[in-house]
Amino acid sequence: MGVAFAAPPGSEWSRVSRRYVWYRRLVLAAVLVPGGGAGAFLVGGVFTAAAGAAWVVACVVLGGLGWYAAVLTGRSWAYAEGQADLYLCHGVVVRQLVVVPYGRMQLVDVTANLLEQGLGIATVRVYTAASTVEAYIAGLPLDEATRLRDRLAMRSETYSTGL
Amino acid sequence: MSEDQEPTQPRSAAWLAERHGRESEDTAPGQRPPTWSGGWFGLRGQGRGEGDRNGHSGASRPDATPPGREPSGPGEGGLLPAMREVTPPTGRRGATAAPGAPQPTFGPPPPSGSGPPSVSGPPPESGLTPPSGSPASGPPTTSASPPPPLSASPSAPAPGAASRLAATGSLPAAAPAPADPAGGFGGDRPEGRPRFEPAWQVLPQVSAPAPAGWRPYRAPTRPAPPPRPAGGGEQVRFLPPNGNAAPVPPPVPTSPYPPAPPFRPEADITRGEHRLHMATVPLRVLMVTLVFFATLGVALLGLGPEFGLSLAVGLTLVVSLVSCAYSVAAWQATTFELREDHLVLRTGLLRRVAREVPLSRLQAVDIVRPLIIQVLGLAELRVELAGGDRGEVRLRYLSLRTAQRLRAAVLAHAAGLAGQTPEAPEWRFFHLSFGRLLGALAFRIPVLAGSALFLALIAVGIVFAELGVLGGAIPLLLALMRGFLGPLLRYTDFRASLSPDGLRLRYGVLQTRMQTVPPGRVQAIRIVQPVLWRALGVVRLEANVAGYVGERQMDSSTLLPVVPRNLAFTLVDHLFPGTDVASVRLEPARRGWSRYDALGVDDTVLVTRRGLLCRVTEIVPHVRVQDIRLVEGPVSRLLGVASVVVDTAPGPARAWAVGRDRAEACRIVETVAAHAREARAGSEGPERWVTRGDIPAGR
Repeated sequence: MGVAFAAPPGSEWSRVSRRYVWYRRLVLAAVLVPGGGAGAFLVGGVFTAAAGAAWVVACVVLGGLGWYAAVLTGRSWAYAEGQADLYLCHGVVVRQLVVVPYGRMQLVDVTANLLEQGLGIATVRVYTAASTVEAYIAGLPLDEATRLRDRLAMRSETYSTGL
Repeated sequence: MSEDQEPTQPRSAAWLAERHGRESEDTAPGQRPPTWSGGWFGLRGQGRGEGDRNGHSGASRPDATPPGREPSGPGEGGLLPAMREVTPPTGRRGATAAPGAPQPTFGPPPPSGSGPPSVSGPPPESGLTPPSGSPASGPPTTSASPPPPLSASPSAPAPGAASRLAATGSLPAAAPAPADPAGGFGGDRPEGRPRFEPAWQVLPQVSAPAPAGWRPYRAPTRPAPPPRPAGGGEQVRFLPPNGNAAPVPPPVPTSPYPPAPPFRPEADITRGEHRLHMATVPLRVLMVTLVFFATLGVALLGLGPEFGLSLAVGLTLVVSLVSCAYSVAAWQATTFELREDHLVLRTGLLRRVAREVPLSRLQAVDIVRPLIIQVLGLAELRVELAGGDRGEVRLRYLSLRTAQRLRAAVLAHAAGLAGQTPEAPEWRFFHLSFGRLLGALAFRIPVLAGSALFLALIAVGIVFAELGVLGGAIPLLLALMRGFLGPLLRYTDFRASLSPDGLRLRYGVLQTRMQTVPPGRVQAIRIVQPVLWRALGVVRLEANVAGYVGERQMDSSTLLPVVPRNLAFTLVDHLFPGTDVASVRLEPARRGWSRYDALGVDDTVLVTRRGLLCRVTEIVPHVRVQDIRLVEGPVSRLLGVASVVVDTAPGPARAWAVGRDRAEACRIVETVAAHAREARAGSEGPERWVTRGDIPAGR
């Protein structure tokens, strides 16, 4: 299961780091482990112990599914720098391809939360005047993210036009 | 402005032919109107052959008057601003068409011919796909005799259309105006009235006492302007009054700019620092006092008849004195100035803030007059920019004349003209009668269902003497008030006009508002037709304007609340100059929600249609595309379809093309990206639309 759409002509899809898969897994674990544990206690206390055990089993199953889904998610992210546009691709269930012209980029951000910093990855966000819509690539290695941001900023100046 | 001009006239004649028996959305398909020489208006020669239809993106209009147009009236030379063409020099209607194109009205043809069935009502058929570029095969359904000049109509329209042109006879041929049977579309109309004039309402500043109708772009109450020096350069913008020369009516302008107004004794708002109107102070004090008394004062009254009253009154007095002092100081400290290209606003008592607003980035200008302010003859001026919630400059309150003058000056600066340029003229485009507004607002499923439910609840409550129904009836009543009474009161007396400085919308009775959307500021347009409005043949037109954000967006982004469908698409062509929405071929969706889903991509514009019950047409010019998305959900993936979404500046319009084949969707994305790239490369921004350089706009 690769990238959902074809790359723009003349360029190849660039993938995100493998560490993004671990990022997703860790986030999932951070949610499921306390949720499963506390939930098991609660459910076991309110209902029968079997219900609590069922809760734990459900959490484990979800965790297992999420473990492999993280791989799919990691594989679905891709970006490509076309002639005049940036192509972004992401999503497993709802797959999206976003084309952002360089001349329309108002802002390019590189952000990393604590977990991303720990893993050495970052997210590049591109803002256009259509501010309700966000185009971003998650899980890039930090230096690649900064290089991409610099390239995008430079190109957006070159190609920029009015609103 | 636009409909008076040459280029749209042949179009609209064809429209009228199509309207008989067919709901045509706008221009005759496949027609490219001839260009005309400009107006308010830079007379710039270069540019694309098609030119801009509304003439205020000055760069691309050719100088030459289009073929077939002869100058109308005596004493007027060849190179004229196009507005003169609409001034019929004589009383003959035929002369109105002397410019070579018909001036059909938006009503049914005059009784001189056996005319087609009345089209004053909504076009009988809906569901047609007008933008699908259906060939000009509509039969010329009118047999009214065409006026003689029509046969000399310009060769620019397609031959098939020319025959339709000649045959429409919707031009009130030789029949006098008052005999117009345009059902309810207004009584006597002066000749040369622009075509799409369902009802004639003369606005004060463009009232024309001249017998023949429209005058060239001068307020008729002003004295004749001083004559221009012969061979005056293009850059002459403001002439001092020349007492020596006798005034020459009407002078042939050798400069593209309108003649400057004579010296006026009042303060020139366009120069120097000015303050707000002095009545602002007592108004503010009054409001603060009232609010304080209504909230705290009433609470204090409860403390006891004597003590509470004196305390309330005393505190209110103290508050009003303090607010008086503060308001006077704030009034003193607030000034605004119109500099070269900037509006400088200085406010603040302790912390002085000087805000400099570049007018070339102007998005919209509004004049708002709530009830009390109207009574006092004041107005609030709002200048909208693209900077989000803080991108707004509000001047409360100015006298009405000052506000209008300032508005004209701000728009002139934004257009690249000098601030002293007189206010641009306007042509009425549409007047929404109260009956139509009321009927359309009421004839919607939520309103009808809500009122039926409300009545049922009240009836049950009365019959069974049950007060509990109020728990449901009151929220329902509030919702009805918001959804029905709100727009009704807001859009009473709605008039839309076109003008070189933008689309002007005037509406409201209790709170009057005048919105101006300068050319090029509309990012995308959405035309909504709820299911019951199909029977009425009206739609609602909403637009994304970059200046209207947040709550202002919900307020102001509806440009035309209720409008006949044809007119809506006319306006689209005016708002997006250089586009021709009618000629866009629409490809239906493979598997959309309904058969109405379709997508059309032109060189200039992208049109999407979707909706099962409520039909939505979204129009995005390529130059305004911000980004493009291709979205595929799990169900769509199973069906092998995808959706394409084209994003623009935030607003109600967002183009969704649903149900496209996957491969086709990828191609669409590529195509739109390529068109957007070309469009961006070819266009300057919409700043200074009259005087900017020769780069074709809107392409």
